[in-house]
Amino acid sequence: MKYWSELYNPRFGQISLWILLLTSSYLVLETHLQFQYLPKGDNLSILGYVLPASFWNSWLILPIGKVVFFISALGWALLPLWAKKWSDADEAKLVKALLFCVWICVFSYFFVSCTYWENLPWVRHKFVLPFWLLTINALWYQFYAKEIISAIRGEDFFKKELYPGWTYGASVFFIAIFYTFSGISKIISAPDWGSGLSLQLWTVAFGDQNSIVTKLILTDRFYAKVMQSGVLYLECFSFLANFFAPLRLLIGLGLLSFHSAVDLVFAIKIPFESQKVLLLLYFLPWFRTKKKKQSKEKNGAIGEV
Amino acid sequence: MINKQILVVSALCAIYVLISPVVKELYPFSMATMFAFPLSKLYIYEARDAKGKVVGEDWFYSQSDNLFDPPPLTLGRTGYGRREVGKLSTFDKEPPYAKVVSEQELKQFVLDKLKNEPELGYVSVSQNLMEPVLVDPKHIDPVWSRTMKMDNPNFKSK
Repeated sequence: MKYWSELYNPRFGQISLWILLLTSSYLVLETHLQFQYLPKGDNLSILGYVLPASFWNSWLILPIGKVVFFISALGWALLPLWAKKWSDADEAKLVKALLFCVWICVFSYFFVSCTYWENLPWVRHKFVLPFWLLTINALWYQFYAKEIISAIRGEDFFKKELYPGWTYGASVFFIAIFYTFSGISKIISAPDWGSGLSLQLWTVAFGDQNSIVTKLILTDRFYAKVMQSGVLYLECFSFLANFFAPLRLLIGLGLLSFHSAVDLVFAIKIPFESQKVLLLLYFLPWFRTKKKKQSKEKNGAIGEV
Repeated sequence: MINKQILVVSALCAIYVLISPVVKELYPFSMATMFAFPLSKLYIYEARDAKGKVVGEDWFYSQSDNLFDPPPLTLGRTGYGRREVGKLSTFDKEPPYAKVVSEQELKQFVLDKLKNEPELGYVSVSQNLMEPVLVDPKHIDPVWSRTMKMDNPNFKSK
């Protein structure tokens, strides 16, 4: 956790930000209002408690939110690259424009997700993590916007140390705690959650009968129990990814296998591609928190940090 | 400077950790409760036409309570953002979570569906209870079954 207070080469940070913006865009594209004709139910978001119920009946809110999101996301992704082309522009104005795009992007994603949740007869958990990760990255830009713009205009952005370790650390924290909470919510509802019985019943109800994994689960409760308990332990102990890098890799691979197994078992598709991308991005060792070789590689090599 | 940044980010992490367990599901806070309620029994529903072919494949699952992603029950809430009407209520907030649907409720639900199926003269609706059987506890099997024939009042013969 000591790396939270260190500064690193921004290569991983900037590339992961672009991937995060693409992932969020993919999710925003998925949103729709096809259940808006149903009567309004309960509030499923903070905005649900702030805005009147009639607000969520407007068909305009989602398209407007989407357009604002895409324009601001494009601005956040590309404005730093365009900064060096505008050599005459006032640096302070560029910083302001960049931060405007950054926060509009975060809030429009939040708005689109709230609108989607308020208009669904179920919930879509995959919209949660990108919001928090966008917020963390927005804070990175908020604190370092001036240095980022200066470095890009000086064409040494990828040579400077402008990526604070807390950006990566907090991103890992949110992903890890999301899965730990998922495990805890299972234990709270039933201490013997991993018995295998409920997995067999869900598989009967929603399983793809042609899948090998489905057949294995239904063959013997022992296999179902091993899989279900394994997922439970994995989720509950995901928070350890914050403290140990080798464990982070193992937990990441375990969670990826879990999502892939869900894809193989259930005929009703529960697409979690965005979660897989985030796990691949933050739990695989693309970013290293040790700064051993950095001084040797300062001249342009990948920030081996 | 960096200490101030860490303080801000840590506060954000703390807010998420403190609020999510209380509200369970209130965007952007979440306890990710998918599959959190373990069933110990399951009722399977099926409707077949005169030839024995399954009809209305999505009647009972896409239009009934979501058994793997139940609605948030915190802050006085009982449902999702939009409330489905005319659905089969199959989820119970208490164990074993799978609710027994009464014959009357099931009949009414199927009659509503048949309004949009004028080509069906009648359907055979079955309700099967799945749970472990004592003689073979490693498997789950139908342990109880009920089938009823329901005429379609909206039937229009060709």
